[in-house]
Amino acid sequence: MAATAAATPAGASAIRPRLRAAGRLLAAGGLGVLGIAMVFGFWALVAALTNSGKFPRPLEVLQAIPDDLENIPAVTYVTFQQIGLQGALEYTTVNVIVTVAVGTLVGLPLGILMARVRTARQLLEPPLLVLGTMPLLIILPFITLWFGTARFAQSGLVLIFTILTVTMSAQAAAQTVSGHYANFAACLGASQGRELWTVVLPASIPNVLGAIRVALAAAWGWQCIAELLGAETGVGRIIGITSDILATTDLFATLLCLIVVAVICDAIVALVGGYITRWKE
Amino acid sequence: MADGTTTPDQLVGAAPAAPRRARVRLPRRGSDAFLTLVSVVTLLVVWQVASLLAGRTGVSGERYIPNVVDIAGAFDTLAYYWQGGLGVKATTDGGAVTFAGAVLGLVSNSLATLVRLGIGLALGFVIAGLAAALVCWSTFLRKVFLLPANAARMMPLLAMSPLFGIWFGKSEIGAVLFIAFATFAIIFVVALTAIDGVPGYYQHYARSLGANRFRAYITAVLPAALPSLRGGVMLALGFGWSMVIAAEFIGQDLGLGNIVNRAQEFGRTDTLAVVGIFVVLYAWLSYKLIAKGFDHLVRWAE
Repeated sequence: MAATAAATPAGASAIRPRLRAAGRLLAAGGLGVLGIAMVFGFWALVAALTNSGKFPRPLEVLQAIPDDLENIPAVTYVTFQQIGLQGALEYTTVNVIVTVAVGTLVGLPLGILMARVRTARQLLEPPLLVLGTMPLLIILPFITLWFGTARFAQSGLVLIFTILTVTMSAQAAAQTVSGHYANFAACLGASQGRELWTVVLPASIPNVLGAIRVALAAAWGWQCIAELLGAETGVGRIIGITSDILATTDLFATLLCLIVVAVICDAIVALVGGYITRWKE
Repeated sequence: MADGTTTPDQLVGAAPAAPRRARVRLPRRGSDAFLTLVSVVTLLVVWQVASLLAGRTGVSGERYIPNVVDIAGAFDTLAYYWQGGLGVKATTDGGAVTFAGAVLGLVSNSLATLVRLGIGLALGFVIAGLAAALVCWSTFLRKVFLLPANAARMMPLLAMSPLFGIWFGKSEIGAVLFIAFATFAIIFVVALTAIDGVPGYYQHYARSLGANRFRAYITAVLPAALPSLRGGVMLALGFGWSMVIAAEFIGQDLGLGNIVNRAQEFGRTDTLAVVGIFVVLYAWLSYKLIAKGFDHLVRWAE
């Protein structure tokens, strides 16, 4: 009996922080929804005060989304192709996710190599510095001239941006770790390979995850501008066509859907990243 | 170790190893400079070989990858983008392609781009800074706007250039507002996070010294958030360059982006490369300038 009485307050005290955390999460979510509602309210106000042909009302845009999913009539009228929002979103999303993943797989080892091997750092820094300084859009005409409108060519800017962002971040993180944690591991007898695999790589992950989220956020813009300037399909292509024919409702519907997909992808990366780095203090 | 850190053997005081054959080591600074030189030379060699292997375009007969000689020779083609005046006739009015015309073409288009970029960035920074400062005055409003601000981060800003074309036509205002909008979207969320990250005790100290809430916010909280804006400012500058090129690429008759657009249409890879080199140069200078200015602004930060 006494044991039960003692267990109850202990159990309650364990549950209380979780309840509090859930309450905070709910409150933050509620405030976030309120923020979105305020943005929609502001949008409705601007739309009411301006030409609806140039600035469609939120309700019109929301109603257009289900109609445009399979096929956007205005786009079909111009291209004689059946292009729907769903197909375009799938095309762009797959391109962005695959390219950011490939860029990360290239950038992470490259950054760690640059942090650990001085010769590699001195050799790779000049070209990376030039690429990092270069406004990436200036490369797009070359990519189009060299590779045409091939699907992988559309993702060239995303790939370069991701490699640059992840490499720089991984290098900085691995350099920080190498001077401190890695020396402890070496003192405890870890081989260089083990030190790299069990200390440097895991300790770099939180920074790299941040870089991946930055790259992912920017990737939608790079992908869409590449598609806008020369692709057969994709969200960028729809943006280009709908703006040419002043189909602003379809244009806004496309942008809204893309933002929702982008936010969901970012949230997934943040969740997975949070799980992978759950050991973090 | 190559990076100069202590080895485990040195830490535990291991017995000296058997004598090894002495190796000649370059002093580190000299060795670093040598490796950088090797990197640059390798880049140039790879570029030259790629240029020879890639061949020429069918449209203009220019190389797909122009080499250094092509680029140097292509500078004069910028004369095609001079509008005429100052004693040099435009090529569209029968003027010859001259070096003076090329210099004037480069200067006039560069100035147009730089002015658009400068005004757009300044407008975006000011509006985003003011909006973030106003929103962060209230903790409630700050929490309300955090989600929409993060969603705005995901907007395909570059691809929204046609939308500004619909709203403002091919006007100067449209191009400037497009850059300002993109800058706003980046800086607003960074500023919100920066102000949110200022420790509460900053304000408490100021209040305990007699400052009212407004004065504590203006003189303690906002300045304390400034150093955290550095990354966002540099990011916005980098995007700003791409934004201005995109705006001019799609709908302006003057500017470096317009030259890029027309050079691409005519398959002039050499002109594209010349403009690319100048854009990289301008961007690099602007990064240095803004970074130095920002560091001077927050020189009091630890």
